[in-house]
Amino acid sequence: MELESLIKNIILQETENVEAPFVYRTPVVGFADAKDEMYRHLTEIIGNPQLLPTDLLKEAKTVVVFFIPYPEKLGKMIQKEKDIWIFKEWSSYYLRTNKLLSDIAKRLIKELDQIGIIAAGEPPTDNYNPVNLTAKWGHKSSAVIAGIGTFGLNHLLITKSGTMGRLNSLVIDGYVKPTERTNKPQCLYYKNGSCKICVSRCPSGALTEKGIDKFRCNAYLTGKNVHFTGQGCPACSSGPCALKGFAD
Amino acid sequence: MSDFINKHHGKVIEETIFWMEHEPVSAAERYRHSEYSYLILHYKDAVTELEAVAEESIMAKYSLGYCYYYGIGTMENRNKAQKLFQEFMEKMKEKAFAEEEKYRVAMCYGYGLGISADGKEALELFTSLENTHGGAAYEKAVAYQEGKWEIGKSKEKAGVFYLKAHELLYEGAILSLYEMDGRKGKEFPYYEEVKSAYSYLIGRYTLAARNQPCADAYMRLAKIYEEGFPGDDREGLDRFLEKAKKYYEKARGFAQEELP
Repeated sequence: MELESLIKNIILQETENVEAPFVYRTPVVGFADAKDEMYRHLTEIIGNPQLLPTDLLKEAKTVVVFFIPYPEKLGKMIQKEKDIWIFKEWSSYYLRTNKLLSDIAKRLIKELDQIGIIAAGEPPTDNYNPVNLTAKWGHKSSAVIAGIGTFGLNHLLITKSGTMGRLNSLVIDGYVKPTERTNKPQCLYYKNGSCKICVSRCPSGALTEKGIDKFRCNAYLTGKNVHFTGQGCPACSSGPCALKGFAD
Repeated sequence: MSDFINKHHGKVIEETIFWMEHEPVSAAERYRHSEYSYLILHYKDAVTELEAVAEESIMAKYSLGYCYYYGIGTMENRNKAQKLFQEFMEKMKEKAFAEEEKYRVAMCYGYGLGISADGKEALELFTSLENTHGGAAYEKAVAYQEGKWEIGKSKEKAGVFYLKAHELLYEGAILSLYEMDGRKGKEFPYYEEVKSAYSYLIGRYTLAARNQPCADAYMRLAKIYEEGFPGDDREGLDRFLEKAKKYYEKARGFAQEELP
C-alpha cells in the first residue's frame, strides 16, 4: 500500500497546489498490470500499432493512470449551453491541465527514482502523428485497463467523475496491485441506450453512433480555433456524463 | 490534415500573431488590419475600419465598395458601392501594378463595378494572374463553368481552375467544384479535400458567430448546415437540418434586434 499511497498523495498534492483560478475535483487514480492481456489486443482493437508497457520501460510492472476532473462549475456551464460550444475557460483548463499532468509526471518520476523505482511515459498531448491522427500509446486505453473508466459513445473516457478532465499515464517498474476492473459501462448509451446527446451536439457531425471521423473533427477544430488560441471543443463532453459516470 | 487547411490556418495564425504585437496606426496599417478582420470573418469590424480609412486608402475604397455591394458586414447599398468603385477605378485602372490591384481592376471590369463592364479586359487581367492569385483562378473557373465573357463553356477547364484556386488558398473553390460536379458525396474525386474544407468552414463560421453574434453570422451558419455535409447519410443530413433550423431562429432573433 505504501507505493500506492505515495503515488496517490503526489497526484493529489500537485492537483491541490494549482494556482487560482484553477481548481479541480479529486483525481481518479488507477493501476494496471503492465502484463495485462488487454494490452496485447489493443493494436487489433484500435487499428494501428500500439506500444506495450514494456516498450516504454523494459522492466515495466505497473501502469499508473490518473484522471484530473475539471471543476463542477465549468461542467455545469458547458452542459447548460445549447448553441455554440466555444469557451475560453475550456481552452484555459485544457492548457493548464496539460501542464499539471506533465508536472505530476515529472514529480512522480523524480520521487519514485529516489526510492529506486524507474518510471517512463508518453506526454499527455501532442503525442500523435499529425498526418494520420493516431497515437502509439493511448492513455484512455490504459485508463480502461486500469479500471478507472470505460469508453463512451463520444469516444471519450468516462470515469466515475465523468468525462470532463484530462488524463495521463506512467509506466513504472514497481508493483502496485491492479485496480479492480468491473467493465460496467459508465456511458448511458451503452448502459441502456437512453442518451445520444454527444452525437446530436457534435457541431461537425464527425461523431455518430457508427463511430467518429477524426479528420472531420480535426478540420472543424482547426477552423473553430483558427485565430483564437483555443483548444478542443467541449460539445461531446457536454452531456450527462460530463461530471459523472453511470456504472452504478 | 488537408494541405489547404494547414496553409490557410498558418496564414491566419501569422496575421493574428502580427496584430497581437502591433497596433495599426498609419492608413496602410489600418487598411491591412481591416483585411485581417475580413479574413477572420469579423465583417462588421472590417467595415468600421474601412469606413475610417477609405479616404486615405484607395484599396480600402474597393474593399468597402465590395462590402456595400454584397451587404457584407453592413446593409447592402449598391449606389454607395458603385460610387466607391468608380473612385477606385478612376485612380487605378491605368495604375494597377501589384497583383491584388490588378485583380480588383479585373473584378471591376468583369462585373461592371464603377465602370462599364468589359469582359475581354477582365479576362485578360485574370489570365495574367491565374497562376498566382487564387481569386483570379476562381474567376477563370466561374467563367469556364458559365461561359462568361465569351470564353466558351468548359466544365473540364472550370474544374482545373477551381483546383488551382483551391491550391492558391481561395476559400470555397473546392466547394464550388463539388457543386459543379453535382454533389456526388463520396464519389467526388476530391472527397477528402471537400470534407476537410467543409468542416473547416463550419468551424470558422461557428467561431465568427460566437465572437460577433449577429443575424449575418447566424445566417451563414444556418446556410452551411442546411446545405448538408458532403456524403452524409439521411440521419446526418437530418441532424444538420436541425442545427440549421436552430441557427435560422437565432438569425431571425438578431435581425429583429438589428432593425433600424
